[in-house]
Amino acid sequence: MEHNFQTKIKELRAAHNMSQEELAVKVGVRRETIARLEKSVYNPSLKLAIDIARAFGKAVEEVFIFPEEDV
Amino acid sequence: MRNGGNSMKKLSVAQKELLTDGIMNLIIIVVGITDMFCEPTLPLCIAYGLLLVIMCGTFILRKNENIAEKWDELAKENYAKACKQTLRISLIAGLIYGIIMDIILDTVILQAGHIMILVGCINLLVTIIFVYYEKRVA
Repeated sequence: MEHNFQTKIKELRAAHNMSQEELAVKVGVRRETIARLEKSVYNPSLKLAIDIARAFGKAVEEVFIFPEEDV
Repeated sequence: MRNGGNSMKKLSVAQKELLTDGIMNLIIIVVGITDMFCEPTLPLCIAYGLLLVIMCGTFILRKNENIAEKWDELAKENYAKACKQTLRISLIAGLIYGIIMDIILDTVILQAGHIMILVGCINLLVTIIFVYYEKRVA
């Protein structure tokens, strides 16, 4: 079940030298949730999306990219 | 907020569910089957007592965040999906059971043991489907 969106979580994590576990602890979820977000197989809640974006100091649109026709 | 990676390895949500609901519902099914073939005697009363103790243990394990991981939104979504699937399966299975019993016996007979087995099976199915969803994408 693939959702029609992309995330830049993996790239941003690498840029911030952060592991999945560290990001998961920072936003209060499990590592598995971050892994599924990176694979775009899980559509997060608005709160989690904002928390993740804030963890990287970015806007939500910079972390989660939805195709124009789906917006 | 959970502890970081340096802390002791905790049970995953799926493992915790198998250890709590999984075992508990298996025991409920066993007690239900026993109940169908036994008169209410001392061994059966002991089995019910044991079940009560395990249910208390399950409750404590669920509340103790030092032992197992906390549920997040993905776990809750997976559990909701598992409940939905189980409901579908239970409704179809219940309907088929009703039709078969109606054709064969012209009536549906329910004993206390049947209800225990039914409850145990439904809960066990929720647990199995939930664990499947949890393990599907590692």
